[in-house]
Amino acid sequence: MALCVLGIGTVCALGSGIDNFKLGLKAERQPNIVQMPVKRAHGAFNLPVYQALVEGLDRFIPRRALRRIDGFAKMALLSTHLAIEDAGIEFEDKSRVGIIVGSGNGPIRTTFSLLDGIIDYGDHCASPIHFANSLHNALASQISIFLNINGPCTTITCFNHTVANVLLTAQNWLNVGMVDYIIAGLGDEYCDVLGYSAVAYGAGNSDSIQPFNFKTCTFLPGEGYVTYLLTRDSEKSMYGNIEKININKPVSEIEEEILSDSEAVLLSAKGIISENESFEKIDLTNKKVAAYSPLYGSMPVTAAFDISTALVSLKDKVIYPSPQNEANSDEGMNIINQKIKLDKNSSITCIELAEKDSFNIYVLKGV
Amino acid sequence: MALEDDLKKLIIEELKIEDIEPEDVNYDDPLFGEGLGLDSLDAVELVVILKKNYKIDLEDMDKAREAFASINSLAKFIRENSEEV
Amino acid sequence: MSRSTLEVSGMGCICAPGNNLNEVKQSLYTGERFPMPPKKIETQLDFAYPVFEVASNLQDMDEEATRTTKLALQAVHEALSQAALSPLDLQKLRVGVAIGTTVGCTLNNEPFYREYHAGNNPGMAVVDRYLANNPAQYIARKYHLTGPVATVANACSSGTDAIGLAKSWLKNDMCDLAIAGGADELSRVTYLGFISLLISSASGCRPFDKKRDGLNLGEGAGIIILEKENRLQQRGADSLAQLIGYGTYADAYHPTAPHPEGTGLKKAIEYALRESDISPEMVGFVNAHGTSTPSNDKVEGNIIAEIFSDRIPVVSTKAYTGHTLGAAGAIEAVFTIQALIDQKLPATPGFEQPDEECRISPTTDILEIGTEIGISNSLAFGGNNSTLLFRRAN
Repeated sequence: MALCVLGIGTVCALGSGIDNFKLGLKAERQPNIVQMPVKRAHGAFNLPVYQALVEGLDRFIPRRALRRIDGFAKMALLSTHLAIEDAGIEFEDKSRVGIIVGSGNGPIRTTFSLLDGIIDYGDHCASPIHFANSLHNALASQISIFLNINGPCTTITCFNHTVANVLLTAQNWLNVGMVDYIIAGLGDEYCDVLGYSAVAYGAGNSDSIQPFNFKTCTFLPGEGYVTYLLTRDSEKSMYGNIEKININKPVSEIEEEILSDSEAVLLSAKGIISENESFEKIDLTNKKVAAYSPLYGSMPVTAAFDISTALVSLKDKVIYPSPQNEANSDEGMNIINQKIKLDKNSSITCIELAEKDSFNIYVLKGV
Repeated sequence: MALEDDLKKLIIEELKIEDIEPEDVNYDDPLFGEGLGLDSLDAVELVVILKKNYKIDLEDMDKAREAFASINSLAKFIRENSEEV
Repeated sequence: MSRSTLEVSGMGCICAPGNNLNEVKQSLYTGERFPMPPKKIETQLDFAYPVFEVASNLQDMDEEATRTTKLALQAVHEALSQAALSPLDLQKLRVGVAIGTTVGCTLNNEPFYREYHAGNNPGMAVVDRYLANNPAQYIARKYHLTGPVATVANACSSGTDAIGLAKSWLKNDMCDLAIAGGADELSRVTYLGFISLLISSASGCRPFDKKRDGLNLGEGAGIIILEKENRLQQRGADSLAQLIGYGTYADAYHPTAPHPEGTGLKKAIEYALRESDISPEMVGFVNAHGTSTPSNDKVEGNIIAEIFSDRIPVVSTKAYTGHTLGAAGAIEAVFTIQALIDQKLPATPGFEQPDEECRISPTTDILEIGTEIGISNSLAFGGNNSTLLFRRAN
């Protein structure tokens, strides 16, 4: 069963809302890259980080009501509202709306805020609000509370399996008739501990993510949250459908997938060397290829933003040039460096690394 | 009234109550339900705030309910139980 | 979509009462439980709130695994053994792994962070381990599994929801077989967190008792092997029980308190009953979430009484295991199945005096039950409510 995308809400370094996201794809808006200090014992280090711009939440929720809500939950709430606004629909029965949230690291900043309180003030001063907000399902819970949505609600935290699982769970819930709509959200946030870890793993040697430079570590941390409003009825979509989701496909089986009718292949390559070793093995000769992580950064759920890119492209009937398309491209790959027009019912395939040498494949189809 | 005024600032700051200035809060206004609109999760957070700032241990929620009724009752409780004040 | 029934072919369990299901079962039927001050956790607190720790150091398990992963692996190993499935058997199938956890997916290693917070350069071993120890992912890698892999982080209903997720995979033919359950280790952070919320009891927990004053934390893992009936028959294996229903609904009410009218729990139970075409009268017992907090037990008791009756047999096995968070729903699913097999429920230690506000009273002694159907509830922080419905095997 295809997943029909009714609306998309993005909050990331390109700003809040799908219009800003599109400006980024068109290269008319630059991502918000901030030099973040990384704590080290022997001097400071500045790491370029794709920092999310969270703007306009007070259009939907009064500031006073957000007092206990941390930054990550604010991203999630804004993204959710934007997706519903983008779809332009109202829910008749909120118990028939499901909420599925996926995140690689969860509310990691609040996790450390909780520890800060314990370390600075003692064991008897653990903040109960920080504790409640540090649970990975806090985002889904806040979405259900603020939007008064009382259908099924779940949270999945599984690194490179997160995006696929959120979408497959959405598919299953719609398929069995548990719900009529799904609010599927995927996000990750940055914090200074992640910055420290990123530097230790080789980030910061490059000022930009070069997704096709498979031999070099060029990843830079990003943060953001994207929400899809999904249903099963294809006729209502302006973006198209998430037509197929195939998980854990070994390299040898990828050929069949990408030899499908897709106009382009979007690689969720984000400059991580261990992932690049697997991406390199996919034969992309003569396929039109793009990678958009330089627009939003490296995070466990980057593929969710790539799927958004594909959906926007299908809606606009144009594939936008791959950013960083001149930088050290691998031989034999036809990296998209100019706009490509798309027909109705075109397809785009997104490829995300699942495990070493196996991939999750998402086929998106326009309407 | 120094303690009472300090408490207003502390509660507004630590519980991140937006758009309310200390002068908007009367000393006898209810903190929970009506008034500032705090709830059970704020109550347990307030217990930790008291530990951090006044070194008071307050885990009996019946006593807490009484102490947390208003700024005045909270100040009275702190004066009776804290060595810091 | 598949119409074949879903059968439980193996179970594994490790928690404070024992290192395997047999040990745990024997312990539960003695009616004795041992809440103790934590041995593995040290705090600056004046008082040591009792917990239910697993005694074993699990030193025989993979060295690079975290304690949560080790607990899960132990239960997986036991479950696969009972299901008569070897690692080689698994590799011939599409096997999915769904594991619920709260601690197991969080980077909150205190020694690492204390060093970092102090301005030092802690080594990356802790982060390496965190990245390699997402529980479902770890199990999938260890057994070379190619089906769907999901760690469910839904607070106290994670284990239940992981089983519900696995059910949907099988029903939608996404895998041939699923390893599903939950695992969580006792952690200083969750220990201090629950104390800060003032919902930890200073004594052994007392589910549904008039004087209950909070929960005790625990640790452990529960795992079931789920497969379709036709596959089970093909390989000549036995069924322990059928998973016939799963319902899950949010309260949309409060980050830490359940809806006072239990609206989410009611919908979850009713959905599970409707899905499995079971009427309330057919249900023989409830394995309650029964954390022993004033609010949970009141809400849950009222909904149980409303849907079933105030006389339906209810047990809270958290009285023996403590609240094992992400593992709880899975451990209690195992106990629900075991109760159907043994046709009896253990007592609920700690319960002495009924609370009329709860409307139900749990078991006070071993209770023989002549029933085909049992349910297990989980109510989570954040307001999620989930229910599993099991039928005794033929």
